[in-house]
Amino acid sequence: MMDYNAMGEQLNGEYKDVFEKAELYGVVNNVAEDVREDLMMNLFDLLLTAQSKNKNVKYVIGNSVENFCEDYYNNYNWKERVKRLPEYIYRIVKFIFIFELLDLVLLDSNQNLSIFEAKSDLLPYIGGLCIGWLSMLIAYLFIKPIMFKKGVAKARLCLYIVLGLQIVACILGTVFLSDNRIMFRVYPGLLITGLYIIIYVVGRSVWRKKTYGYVRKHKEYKGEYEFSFKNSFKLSNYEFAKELEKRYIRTNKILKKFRKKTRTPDKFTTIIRKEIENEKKYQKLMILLYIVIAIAFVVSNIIMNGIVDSLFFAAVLIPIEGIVYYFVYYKLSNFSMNAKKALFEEIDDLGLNIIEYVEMKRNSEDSDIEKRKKLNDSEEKEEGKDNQNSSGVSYDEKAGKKGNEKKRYISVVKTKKNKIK
Amino acid sequence: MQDTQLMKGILEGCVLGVIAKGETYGYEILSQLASNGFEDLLEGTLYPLLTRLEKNGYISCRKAKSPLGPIRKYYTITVSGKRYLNDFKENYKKVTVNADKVLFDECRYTQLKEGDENDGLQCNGGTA
Repeated sequence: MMDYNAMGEQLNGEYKDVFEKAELYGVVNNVAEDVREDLMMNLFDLLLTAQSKNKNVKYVIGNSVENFCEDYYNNYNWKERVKRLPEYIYRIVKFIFIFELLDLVLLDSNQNLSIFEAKSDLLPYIGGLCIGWLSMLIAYLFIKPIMFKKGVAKARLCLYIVLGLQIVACILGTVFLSDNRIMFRVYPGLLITGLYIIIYVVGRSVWRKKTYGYVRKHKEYKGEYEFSFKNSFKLSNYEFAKELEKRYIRTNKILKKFRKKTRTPDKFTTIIRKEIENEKKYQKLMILLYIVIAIAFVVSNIIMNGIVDSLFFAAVLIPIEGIVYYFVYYKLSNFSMNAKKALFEEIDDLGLNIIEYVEMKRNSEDSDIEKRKKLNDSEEKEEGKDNQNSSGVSYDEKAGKKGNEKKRYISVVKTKKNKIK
Repeated sequence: MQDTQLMKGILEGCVLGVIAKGETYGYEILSQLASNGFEDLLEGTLYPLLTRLEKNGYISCRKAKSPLGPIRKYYTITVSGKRYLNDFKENYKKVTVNADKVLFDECRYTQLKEGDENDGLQCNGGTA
């Protein structure tokens, strides 16, 4: 899986916006992951090249992002979807097989039923499919227009709401439809799904061997753009600082409302700095709390159910809870702590507070856009000459750009400091 | 780029013509075509076209790291692609010659009939 966030980070302003919209367009259109990866990698290279050559994004995509997305995904039509139907069915069948197996092993083993007598409920599968398709339809009909009219952030929010509603619908379905069951024997289901899985996997392996010469899935995009759980939570210092700036504005608004003394940027920075130390303390406290809860759980169970049962459940449940705790609390708090640390390293070097840092970055971004516009205008005049020789951007050019950015960066800091004095 | 039906076929040949000059990639194809007057050609049109050409076996694709970092697709023309391009060129010549004949002669005819030079010039401009 590709890390689209890491890729988007390398693009600026309108380039990033186009990239994000094209990616989300693929999601709401339910485009297969491998097709989306191919399209996005290609678009990323194109936008990055256009950006490095200071070409306007319209040069690549035209005036309408919507039209561009429609054209760009044009090859992924209904014929392509029909071709991919076996793969789609395989994904569903895989889950049904696992659930049926669990049903057979965990639930029916208590009733001492043989594999031929055990029964399972069909309704959750039908309900799940209906909810899934309905969500896809909602995403396609409503989220797509929102994305082009109101922006990617709002469309993403709507997508999360749809996902949330999906979960709520599943929970409500299991609660209210528990009396209406469509029971069927487990073994035909297991047999059919199992057979389908075998046929599909064997067929796919043969096809891969014939087409590519290897059976395993070939990863085309390795390295820095591969999705990693760690990177998915990473924000650049500027983005993180912008989030903190929003918090600063929000807090001061509330303080003003209650007619209390508002926070100065320096005071706010000190508070955030203190949060790093506090988070370390909270982490230790949470580990302690988790151990206490686990011991209390085991002890109370031993008293009520005996040693063997309690130890068995403790051996299963405590590691699971531990993993959940590790990812939900420990990892997340570590990400936020590391982001704060990285930000403070940068702003301490510059001798600025968080708000000044955001302003400085914003100014440098604005001047970047202006510079690009000017370059575009001048390039458009000399377009004919320039287009003949377009064999990629040299590293010298890139280094030159970085040098200019650094100079501008220092000058902005200096003017900021003078203003503060 | 308004006459899409006409453009579709021509573009396919032109893209193949650009790739026939040597191994190239998306942005370069766009630039080459833009510098030759196809300014309105966009990536949204080009990418599906390249995929179609690849599927038909007229071009082959190699993936390699670009100087800027991301994986880039480099396209090369295949033997059947070269054959197709030659056929396309011949057909294109025939069609344009015939179309020129019909359109140009028609204009001449009106020009002579009306004896108005301006009308004739407009016609020529439309044909070119």
